[in-house]
Amino acid sequence: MKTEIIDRIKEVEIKLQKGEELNREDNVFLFALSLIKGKKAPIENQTSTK
Amino acid sequence: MSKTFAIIQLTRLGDLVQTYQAASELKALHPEIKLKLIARKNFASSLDFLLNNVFDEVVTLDIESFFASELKSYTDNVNQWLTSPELQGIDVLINLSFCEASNYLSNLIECEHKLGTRIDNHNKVIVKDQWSQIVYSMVMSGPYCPFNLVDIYKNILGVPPQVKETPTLEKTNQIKLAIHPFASDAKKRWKPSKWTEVIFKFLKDNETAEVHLFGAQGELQDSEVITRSTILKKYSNRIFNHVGKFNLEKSFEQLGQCTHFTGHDSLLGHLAKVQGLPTLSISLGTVRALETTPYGANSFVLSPRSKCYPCFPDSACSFYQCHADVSYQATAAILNNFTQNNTIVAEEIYKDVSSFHLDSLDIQEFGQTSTGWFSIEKKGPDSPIFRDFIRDIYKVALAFKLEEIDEQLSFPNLSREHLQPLEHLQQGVQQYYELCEFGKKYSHYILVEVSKSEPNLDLIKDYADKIDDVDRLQELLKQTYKELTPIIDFYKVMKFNLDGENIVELSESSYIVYNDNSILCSVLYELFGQTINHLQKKFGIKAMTKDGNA
Repeated sequence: MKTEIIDRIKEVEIKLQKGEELNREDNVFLFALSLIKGKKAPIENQTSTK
Repeated sequence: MSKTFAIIQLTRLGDLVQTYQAASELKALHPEIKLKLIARKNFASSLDFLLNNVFDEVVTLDIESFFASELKSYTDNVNQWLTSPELQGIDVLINLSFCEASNYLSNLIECEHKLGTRIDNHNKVIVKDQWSQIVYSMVMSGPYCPFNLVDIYKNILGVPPQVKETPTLEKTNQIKLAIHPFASDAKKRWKPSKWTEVIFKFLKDNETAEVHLFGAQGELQDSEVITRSTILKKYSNRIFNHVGKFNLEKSFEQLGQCTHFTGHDSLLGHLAKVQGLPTLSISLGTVRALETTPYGANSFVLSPRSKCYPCFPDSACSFYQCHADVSYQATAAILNNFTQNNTIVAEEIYKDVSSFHLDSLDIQEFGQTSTGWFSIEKKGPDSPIFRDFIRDIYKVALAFKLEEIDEQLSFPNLSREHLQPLEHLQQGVQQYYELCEFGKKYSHYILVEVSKSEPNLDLIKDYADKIDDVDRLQELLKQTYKELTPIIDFYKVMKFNLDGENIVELSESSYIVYNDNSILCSVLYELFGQTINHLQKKFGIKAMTKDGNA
């Protein structure tokens, strides 16, 4: 499952790098991943909307 | 038709109790609202005896039930939960947990009105409402957050602050002191041996008093270090060790049989407060007393005056100076005073206990101010810590800015040595103000250029670059004036969450945010200025002009 997760993260990262919107499936994956990680989102996670 | 509000709270038990406290006030104000709670199963199920009093429905997130050997099955299980009927038909969704999982969850639940943080489809954190922006920029990020978490939650939920009468507590002949001598992190708790000393002194001085130890199964071993200690042997008939014996519901009931509570920052303190007990919290390490002290009347706090306090979870520390600064001798004397009077009569303590023990700590009362918000006030000799003064100034400025509430603050008894850092900080506010004015100016220039029949795109780009420079300089300002960090971060979050879909709307929003920030800077400048004048008069110092003349 570890390899599957790493591959899926790469997929999402590529989408984000291309500036594409994530779909529901991607968001469900990220939510599922965050449940395992349980990590706090720091202020630095934000990027300017300018 | 009644509306359904759902609150997401995925963090730990203490946060759940604080959420319960805020939600109960919303429910009292609007009983017609159907209130749902979305929480982790392992936390929510152990508090259902409490949560069911306020929430019409508790939707639990059972992570373990999602696990599967393949990723697809795991995400399918998560998706099945997300599409379950109990997560549909929500009118207002409020995320109060500010963690990554809750941010994604807030994005995934369909709902027209969302408050709190969420992560959007570009994987960016969105925080639109100002009280959530306060949490995101100030809570746990330093010592300057001027609000208690329950007050912040109430403000996010739209519950106005209301002054309540402090209940008078009858003095009791039979003191039953509940103690939770543990906390989730070593930085936040004394070693059991120190608690042994405190309990020994307390039981020695109070001949009929009982001590009831509370805690979870995992804390049993540490509790036995206390109960099996040789010095406590002669008092063993007055020590009751409930650690690991009860579930939370039973512990809550047992707390109700006690007369007072003391302990570190933990769930049991919050539960004791819900039971209406007077509490004395010993705040150490990473604990920001104002943020997390049990919410309610008759709450007191002992905190160290150590320079490094409060620290951060990842700060390395080999010698816990803050633990040493709150001595067992002082704690025992304060505990005696607290249990005998149901309050703390600071004059008696400062008369009886050596300043050697008292100089390194603060005794504070956590109570409502005239605004209805809770605040922390030092008891005993007025010798404020500079960081606490800055925190209070921020409270006055933010109360005015966010809710147009006039928070009263008398001049603090600062010393002469505080004058120079205050003047330095006032200069920082002035520089910050000037940067905001530049931000305003270039936002305005963009709007003027865009409104022309043939806008010059290069010029617009230049102005946008200038705004970028302003934002970069604001970041640099934090390095020189670290006390300004919460205010700069607050506006940074506001700026990241500008309203608007196009350049005109974004520039308008940007102008408004810079303008808003300029106003806050003016208020801060005035507050610092008045304090400086007060101190100059107090110490007979003539004010200096900018060219250095008196």
